[in-house]
Amino acid sequence: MRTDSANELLSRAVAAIRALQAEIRWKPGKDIQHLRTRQHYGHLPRSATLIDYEAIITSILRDDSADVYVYVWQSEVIYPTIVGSHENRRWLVMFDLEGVMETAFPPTDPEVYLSDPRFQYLGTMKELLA
Amino acid sequence: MNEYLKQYSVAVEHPEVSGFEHLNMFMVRDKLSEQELSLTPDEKRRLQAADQRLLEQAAVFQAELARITTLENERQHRQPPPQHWWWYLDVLTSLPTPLVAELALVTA
Repeated sequence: MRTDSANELLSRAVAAIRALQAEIRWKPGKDIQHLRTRQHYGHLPRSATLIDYEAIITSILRDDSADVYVYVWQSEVIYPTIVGSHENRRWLVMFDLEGVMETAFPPTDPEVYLSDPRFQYLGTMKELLA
Repeated sequence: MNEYLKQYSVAVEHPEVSGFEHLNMFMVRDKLSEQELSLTPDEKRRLQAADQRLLEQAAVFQAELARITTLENERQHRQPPPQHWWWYLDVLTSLPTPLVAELALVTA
């Protein structure tokens, strides 16, 4: 049984997901910075545009089978995290409770990365948004 | 080139991207440390250059990490050996600049 604070967190995480499903929002200037980083890593081709990058993010945010986690540190640092696949890689889409993007990237070893106890598993997108 | 080295060399060029990616970078650096003996001379040179880049920009990396964690907390959780100096960037940034520069030369 969830506590009131857990229900509140869940409710805010769902609202943030829905906001991002409707529109991807970044902090000023961060969108291009993240696109360039993904290109530099080779996660996206050099010719990729912000539209291409955000299409990947949106496809993960709209994937019913994607897994939903929330990163919680010291009860105050909270980032919902959606984990989905794109071209055989596991990508993390991370954002704050206001629905503003933090990052979207494929970690080197997603299983190890998500084994950090600060990542709490909430369920699939379908389960969460039902 | 070693795949971890490729990733690490890119990561050190993006100190302002996100602390969450910096944690991944440190985990990649851990993997690289397991493979250092098998790196070619050219790869070792590239690793030294990337390490130096990380040290030069330690304060920027540290600032971005501070939004999501503290390195003290990471050390408690991950228990890295002292040789894994990248988990001690907060300590390094508190040192006088000449000492950090000296450390950069040592790692190079």
